[in-house]
Amino acid sequence: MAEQKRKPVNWQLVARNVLLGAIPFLVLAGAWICAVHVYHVKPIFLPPLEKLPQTLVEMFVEDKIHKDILVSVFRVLAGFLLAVILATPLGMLMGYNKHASQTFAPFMGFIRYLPVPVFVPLTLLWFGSGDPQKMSIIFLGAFFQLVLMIEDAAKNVPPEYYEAARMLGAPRYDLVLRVLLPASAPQIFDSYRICIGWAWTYLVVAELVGASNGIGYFILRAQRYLLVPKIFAAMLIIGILGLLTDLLFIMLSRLLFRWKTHSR
Amino acid sequence: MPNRASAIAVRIRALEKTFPAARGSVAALTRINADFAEGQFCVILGPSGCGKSTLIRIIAGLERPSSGKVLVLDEPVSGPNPHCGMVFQAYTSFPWLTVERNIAFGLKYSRKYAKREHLSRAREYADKVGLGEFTRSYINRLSGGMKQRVALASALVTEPRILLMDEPFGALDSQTRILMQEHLLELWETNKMTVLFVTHDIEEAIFLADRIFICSARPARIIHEMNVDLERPRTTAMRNRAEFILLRHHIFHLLRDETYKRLIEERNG
Repeated sequence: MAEQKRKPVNWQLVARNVLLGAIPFLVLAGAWICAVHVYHVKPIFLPPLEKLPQTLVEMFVEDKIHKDILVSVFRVLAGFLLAVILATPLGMLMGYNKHASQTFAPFMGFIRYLPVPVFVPLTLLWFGSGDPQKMSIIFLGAFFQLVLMIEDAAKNVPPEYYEAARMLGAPRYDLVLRVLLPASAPQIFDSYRICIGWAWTYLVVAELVGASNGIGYFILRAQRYLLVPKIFAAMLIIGILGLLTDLLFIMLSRLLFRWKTHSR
Repeated sequence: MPNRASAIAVRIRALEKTFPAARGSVAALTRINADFAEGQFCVILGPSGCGKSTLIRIIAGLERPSSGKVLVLDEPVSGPNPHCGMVFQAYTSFPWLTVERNIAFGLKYSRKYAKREHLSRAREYADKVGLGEFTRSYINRLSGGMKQRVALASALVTEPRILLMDEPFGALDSQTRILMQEHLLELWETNKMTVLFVTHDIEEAIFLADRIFICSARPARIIHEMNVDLERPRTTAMRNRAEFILLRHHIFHLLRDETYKRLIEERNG
C-alpha cells in the first residue's frame, strides 16, 4: 500500500468500452446504407457510404488534403493557444478576486453573446484574409468563453483550502501558486478540452468566408462543384481530428492529475 | 504544573462579534471574557451553531472581532500567526499533494528548518500520527480519520505553541472519533502544548479537557468554566467512572437549561 502500484490494464473492459462507443457509429452507417440502397436517396444528396474510402484516397492523392488539414490545425492551435495564454491568468484572477470579477464579468458576458460569425466581416477588414484573420476568429470565439469557464473553475476552489494554507503560514501572494493553481487545474484543463472543440467549429466558419485553403475552404469548393462525396469525407476528417484531440486531452489530464484519478 | 498554569496563552476581553445579515445584523458572540492557560488542554463546549467556531476563528486570526480584545501570547491578533496551528472540521489537506508533501507544506514558512530537512521531518511526523506507511499516498485514497491525522501532523510539524481545533473529529464515525481522541491525547502528553478544542460533544469534552468552557446558545457567552480533575493519562475505562458520568449529567443539564431559557426568551419576544 505504501507505493501506489499501477493496476494492470483490464483489456476486457477496454474492449467493452470500445464496442459500446462504436454502436452509434454503426447505427448511423446502417441508416445511411439503408437510405441509399433501400429508399434510393439520390447520390447528389447522399452518396453511397462504400464510396467514402475511395473518395478519401483521392483527396489525399489528388487534392493533397493533408496540406489543408495542416493549415487548419495550425490555425486552430495558434488561435486557441493565444486564447489559453491570455484567458487563464485573467480567468483565475476573476475567480480569485471579487473586484476583478465585478470589473470584467459584464464585459465578457456581453462579448460572449455576440455570435462569432459577426466578427468575420470586421476581421476581414482589419487583418485581410490570411492566417491572422482566421486565428483572430478562433481567438475571439475561444477567449471569452474560456475566461468565464476558468473563472468558474477558480471560484470552485473550497475556501477552506485557502484558510488551511494561511494557518500553515502561507502569505496571501503564495496562495495563488500553491493553492489556487493546483486546486483548479483539473477543471481548467477540462475547459480547454471543451473549448478546443468549439475552436474547430469557429475555424470552419472562418474558412467558409474569404479563405483560399484549409478544410473549411475545401468543403466550400466541393459544394461549389457538387462533389458531395468529398463534403462527407471532409466532415469525416474533421470528426476524426476532434476525436483524437479529445482523447489526447483525456490522456494528458490522467497523466497530469494522477491525484485525481487515484481516489479509491 | 502550578507555575506554568499562571501564564496565559490566549486572553479574551469583552469580545463581541456580529455578522451583517439581510436585515440588520446577527450577533454570534457577546461579552466573551476568558483566559486560556498555557500548557492546558482547554475545551470550548456549546450547542451546535452557537458561535463557538467563530470564537476559535477569531483567535486564529481568520475573522476579525467586532469589538473587544484578543491577545495571543500577549500580542493582539491581526491575522494568522505562526504560534497557532489549526485543524478544521472539514478535510483541508490538499488532495494534489502526497501525505508527506502535505505535512511539509508549512515548513517552508517557518525559518526554523533547513530546506533539505523538510521531507524527512514530514515523514517523521507522518510516523507520529501513524501514517508512516502512507507518506506517498494521495489524500483521496485515505479514510476520514487518516485525513484528519494528516491535518494534525501538518499543524504540529512546525511546533506551534498553541493548537486550535475546530470540531476536528465532528465528521468521523463514533468509533474512529474515540480512537482519534486517544491518539490526540497521546501526542499531547509528549509536549503539553496549549490546546483550544471546540466541540458540541459533552463526553469528548470531559475525556480531553483540563478545563471546560461552556457556551450558551447563540449569541454565545461563556456561562460556565470548570476543571476536569480526572488524572492523566486518560483511559477509556474512565468514561464509565462515577465522577465522569456525574460530570456529564451536570453539564448536560447546564446546557439544557440554557437552551430552554433561550427558547422561552424567543417565545416571549
